[in-house]
Amino acid sequence: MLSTPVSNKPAPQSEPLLDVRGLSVSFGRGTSAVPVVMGVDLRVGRQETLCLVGESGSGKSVTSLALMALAPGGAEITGGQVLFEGQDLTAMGPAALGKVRGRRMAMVFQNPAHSLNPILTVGKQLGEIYAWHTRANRRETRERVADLLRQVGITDAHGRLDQFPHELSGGMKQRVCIARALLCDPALILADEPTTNLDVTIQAQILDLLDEIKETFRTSILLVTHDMGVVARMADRISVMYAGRICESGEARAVFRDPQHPYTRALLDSTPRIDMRYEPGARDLPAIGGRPPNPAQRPDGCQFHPRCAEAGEDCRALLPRMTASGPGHAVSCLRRGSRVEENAA
Amino acid sequence: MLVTQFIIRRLVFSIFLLFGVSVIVFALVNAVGNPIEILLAERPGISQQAIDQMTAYYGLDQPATTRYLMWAGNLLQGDFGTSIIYNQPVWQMMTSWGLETLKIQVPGILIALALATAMAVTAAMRQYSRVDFGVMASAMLGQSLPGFFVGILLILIFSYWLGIFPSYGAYSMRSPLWGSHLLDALWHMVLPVAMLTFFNTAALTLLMRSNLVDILRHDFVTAARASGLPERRIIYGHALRNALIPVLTYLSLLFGLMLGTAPVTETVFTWPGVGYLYINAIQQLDYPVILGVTMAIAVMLVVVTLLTDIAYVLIDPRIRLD
Ligand SMILES: Nc1ncnc2c1ncn2[C@@H]1O[C@H](COP(=O)(O)OP(=O)(O)OP(=O)(O)O)[C@@H](O)[C@H]1O
Ligand SMILES: [Mg+2]
Repeated sequence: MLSTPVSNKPAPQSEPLLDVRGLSVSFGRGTSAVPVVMGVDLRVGRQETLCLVGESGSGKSVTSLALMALAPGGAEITGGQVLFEGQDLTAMGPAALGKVRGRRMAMVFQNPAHSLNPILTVGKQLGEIYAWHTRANRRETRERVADLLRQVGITDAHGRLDQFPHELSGGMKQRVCIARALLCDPALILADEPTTNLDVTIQAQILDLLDEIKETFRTSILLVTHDMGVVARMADRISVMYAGRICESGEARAVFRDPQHPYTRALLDSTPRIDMRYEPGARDLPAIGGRPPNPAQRPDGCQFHPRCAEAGEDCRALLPRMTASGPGHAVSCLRRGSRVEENAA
Repeated sequence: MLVTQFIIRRLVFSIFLLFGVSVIVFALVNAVGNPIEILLAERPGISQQAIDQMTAYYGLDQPATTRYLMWAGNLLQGDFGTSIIYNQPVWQMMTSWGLETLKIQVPGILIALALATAMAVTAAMRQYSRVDFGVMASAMLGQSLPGFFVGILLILIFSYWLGIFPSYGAYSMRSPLWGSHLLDALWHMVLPVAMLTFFNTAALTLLMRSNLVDILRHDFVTAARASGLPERRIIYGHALRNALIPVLTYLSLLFGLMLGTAPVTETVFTWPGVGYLYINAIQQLDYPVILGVTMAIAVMLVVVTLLTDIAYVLIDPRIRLD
């Protein structure tokens, strides 16, 4: 069942729905500022799923919040553009942002138990958002919320409206969160590890649901995960993040068939291939020797070189930049012939 | 569990509690001494006949257990007894003096709650900014000043130097301010209420700010922001309501703490309230008053905690009445 979008201004099909250029985020200010996201480029096409992968602490969550022009306490977007449906969100005021957030772009969080307000009923907290954006009256709002709960596979949707989050199971809560994201027919859903906190069987159901939504609601999905099994199953395109930078991105097929960056290869080595059966259990990154750098004390040159078997002298001194390695595939690695970042510190 | 069932269980428990409290207080007063002797020490001229009369009337020649049973028996019939010092029915004194206490305590708590909310929101929305630092520093300073010191400072500035507000009493002795009894009463309330407000605001602000800062870090707040709701709504509709839950306990404590703040405030401002009455009664071992006030306080605490628990259930759906 499809509902009418709140405001759908179709952009020319040629340009991507989301085009992120050089996005940077730092914690703290001035001389003590610690950059955690640096010069990130991302692109999400219409009705496409982009998977953002990387180890814990690589900056995936900070990046996905920044796509909404949000930042966790103490963090600040220090540079770059987030072009969404032709507008730069980083240059928008609060009022304009309020018309994009929750309406054109919506978010699903990692922990459904934490991302719902514990003292408001499901109907109230979802209804508040819908009513705020559409000025719908109470009855319309209730209908809309119940309708969406039904569409995300919640039985007895009307009865659930008056329940509190703690009365729902984990999987059910995540469905409610997905329904919340869909309230205003967004063009893009940002899902930050939406299945990490769920049981294995529920994980698969939620992934199915996301895939289904992509079709019925014609949305694009940016899926943050560190589970290569999920990537193999969901991704149209992949961006690999390491220590706050994108080190490889491309069509899922191309990346899985021919991973370029040593880090991507290490990620894929011990995880299911695209032609393998999906195994939700295999969710941790393979053991790569060493640890990612501390954001406050980054090495010179390529951030991955201390852990890289292929690293040479140049890798220790020079910062590679994203360079095309094939059709729809780019990598930043000097061993793969990437160019050097000129204005690197 | 049904609310009525819960209330009944609580009340049954409270009866035992009140019984225990009355026994302990009675025993303590009894251990300290004989009120007639204290009265005699102050007014040596009282005749032996009057002493015998009073001793008989209050049963002071009887053993303590008999006197307790007498007192308790009367209490069960709604008779709190008669004050030894004032020679008035205790119940009547408590209601009239109690009203005076509530007159300054309730505004002192409500104004503090409003001020603390405003300051805590201002501070929490700009965490670690100068505003936040300023609010926290002044709240901590405020909390570290003893209540009586603030009261005396207020009297010094506004009564002694500026002469704007009266420094004692609840009413003017002669003619009321501008001929209006209401204005006169309000005029007298200003300084005591200010002292209580000051005292309560400091602690409430610190508590609410830290709750708010904590709540604002929660995912559901980020989720509300990511849903496009305006910041005001998020703060007042989502964060503040959650942050108020722990404050509720503190508020009920404050009502209980009246017992702590009332004697100080009412002594500093010579305010005819229960706190003042209580202190006097203790000094003179006026045990019907001591016991009466203690029981009233205990009953009030029981009722306030009961109401708090019910309020919790109404505010926080995760809490059940067990
Ligand atoms: N509140 C904070 N204060 C300071 N640094 C922070 C804060 N939150 C995150 N960071 C830092 O920002 C970097 C990126 O964190 P982020 O949460 O985006 O990682 P992630 O890729 O989402 O990891 P995970 O897989 O664990 O969710 C990390 O190095 C982290 O230490
Ligand atoms: Mg994360």
